[in-house]
Amino acid sequence: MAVRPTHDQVLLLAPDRSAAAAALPLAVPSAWSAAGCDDGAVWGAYIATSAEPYNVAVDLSDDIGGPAYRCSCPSRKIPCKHALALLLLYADGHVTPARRLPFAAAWLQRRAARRGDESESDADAEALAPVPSHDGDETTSADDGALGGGARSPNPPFDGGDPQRQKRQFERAERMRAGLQELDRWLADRIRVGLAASELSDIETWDRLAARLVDAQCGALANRVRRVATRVGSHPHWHEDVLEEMALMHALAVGAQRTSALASQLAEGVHIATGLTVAKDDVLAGVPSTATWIIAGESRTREDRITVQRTWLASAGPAPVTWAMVLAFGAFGNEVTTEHAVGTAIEGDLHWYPGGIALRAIVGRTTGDPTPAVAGPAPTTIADATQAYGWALAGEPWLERYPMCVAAVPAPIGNGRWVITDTTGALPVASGFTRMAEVVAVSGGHPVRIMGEWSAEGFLPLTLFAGDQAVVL
Amino acid sequence: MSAESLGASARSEWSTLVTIAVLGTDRRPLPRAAPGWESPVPADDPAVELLNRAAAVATARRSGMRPGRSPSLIEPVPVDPRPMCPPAAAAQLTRMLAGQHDILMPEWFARCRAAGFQLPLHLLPALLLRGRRNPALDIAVRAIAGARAAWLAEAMPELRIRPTPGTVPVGADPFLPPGPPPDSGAVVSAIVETFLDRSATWAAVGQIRLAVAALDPTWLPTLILELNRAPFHAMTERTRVELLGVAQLRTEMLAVLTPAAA
Repeated sequence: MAVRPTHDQVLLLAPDRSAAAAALPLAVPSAWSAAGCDDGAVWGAYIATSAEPYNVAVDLSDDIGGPAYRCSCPSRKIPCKHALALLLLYADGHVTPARRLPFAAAWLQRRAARRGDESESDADAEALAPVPSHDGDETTSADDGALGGGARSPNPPFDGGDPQRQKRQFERAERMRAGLQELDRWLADRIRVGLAASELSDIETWDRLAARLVDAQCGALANRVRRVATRVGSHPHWHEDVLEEMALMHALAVGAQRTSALASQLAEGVHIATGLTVAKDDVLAGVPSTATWIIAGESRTREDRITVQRTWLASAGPAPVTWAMVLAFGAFGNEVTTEHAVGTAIEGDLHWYPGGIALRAIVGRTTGDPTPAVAGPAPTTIADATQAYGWALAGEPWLERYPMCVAAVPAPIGNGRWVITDTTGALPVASGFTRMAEVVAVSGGHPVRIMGEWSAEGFLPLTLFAGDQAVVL
Repeated sequence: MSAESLGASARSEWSTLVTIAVLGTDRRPLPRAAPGWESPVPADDPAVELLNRAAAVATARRSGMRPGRSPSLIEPVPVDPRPMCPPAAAAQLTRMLAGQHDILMPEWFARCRAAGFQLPLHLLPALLLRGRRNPALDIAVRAIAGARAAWLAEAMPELRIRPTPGTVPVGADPFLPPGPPPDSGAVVSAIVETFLDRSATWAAVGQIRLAVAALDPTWLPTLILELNRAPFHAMTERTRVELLGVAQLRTEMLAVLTPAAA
């Protein structure tokens, strides 16, 4: 006899935050028809969105293995939002005892028979069961991964019943898989002949690979390859930098072909780093973090004819702050429009992209007008900022830049090179940074609040929070 | 394992991997991994195996990065007790430095100094660099910047700023705001007249602009009103817009650069 779960317990069953958020609005009695329950199961037909109702059933009779789910929707999330919504409805007492609907009765019977059997006849039971082709059984593997198996994208294809679309997704996954294999072969070939080989310093070698990756729809990796190419010969120790980058790309290529073996958030991070895009609506469906967010800094880079603008947001309040990165893109030299001014704060929701760490986000609903926040985010010591970067990197090893806000003094180390330093240590300023004079003039040799990005090239200052002004560098 | 010995073993493992990667696994055999640095997913191909091991060591190195040793610091400049110039005034100076209505720059400096404000610190390098070619501006900048100008010149020799201001050659622009005319009302009437007889062409703008910059400030609202009312003509429109810009920026400047009521 199953114990009725509570509302919160149901939400804990969600495979990710977005499924939980998506389920909540569906848990209203008007969206359901013939919802019923008995001692061991809940079932119902979800009728709110599609012409064909989704048949949903949850088996609660297995106390050890936990609930099992069945839904005729195309989502590959287990449980899907419909199953969660049905359970929420049940938890809230909106489902009354009834006779099992035929589809639920048949499914529950099959499950019971299989459990009673204790034999390895799952496959046979499946073969005998007259279920629609896209109707995945809950006992099969939940996640084959986009590139390791089926055509799964980070956004569940809700109209995936469309065979054309499934075919397209499958083709894309195949293309990406071929591209990643080619990248990995290329990397191994370079290691075989050695980094000192002359073809590595030929930009053509890299460009061909990048073009191949673009064809394979691994755009994010193609840009990464181009960035690594610029590091060849850039300084006497470039072999180390390039080997690091090649090894991380290798890890991404291997990881992307085995996402089913990774934790789901990390697997999503791998997908994004290789080039799969996440639909904005899916991100917005996630549970937001509501807070006061300080617009702490902005940086721009050019990536293959596209300007990428990163806006760094930091939670207001004492350290440690929560950082978020909002990306905007401007094509063909168009300036990216700045939505929020640096040195102001907004009150509202941030929705996180999936990934090994929560960093990239979208600004959702905001309340009120931006307020000035010229003091900037709470600064940390350089040692603490470095450690936070280390933890972030442990979550996503291919992370290229990470924000920091420190109270530090600029100090020269000769040859026109500078570091920023406090009592816990020093970080080199990125050699490409051209506005060091402003940092030095504002500091006057005293500690100043500096927000910037740490990357393999060093610390890139973006904003100074001095006195009653945020100076954008 | 302590952090130090872990760091040392990561360094030695990394240098082994870099050496072999530079020469190539075709030419050098890949030695066994040091304890703790074995490949997470062993492979038969030595090149793949090297990449596997390098990925693990590179991630450990990057995420275990520690800040460097602090170098010796430069002697800080003494704390300046004067209030900072208001952000709006800094924004006006930024516009003038970009070439917009820079005829008002001498007045901006005179008023900033009279109001007892500090210069916007982040504009100091740009002002001092400009001062290398304009000694009169340099003197005005350093008069307000105080000790920080010389300090910056010493702290950043790469800027090649002189530690002390130069001297103004005879006959050069003195970088002072123009004095007000004896009868500003008459000047406003004369400016309005140039729009009525269409003599306020772009060729004549320099002279009229100077008159607007010199005007007694109490007449600025009247001038703005008259310029807004001036009849449209294609020949004078550009001048009208320019003069309005100067008059408006000057009005804003007067509003923010007044001594703080103590």
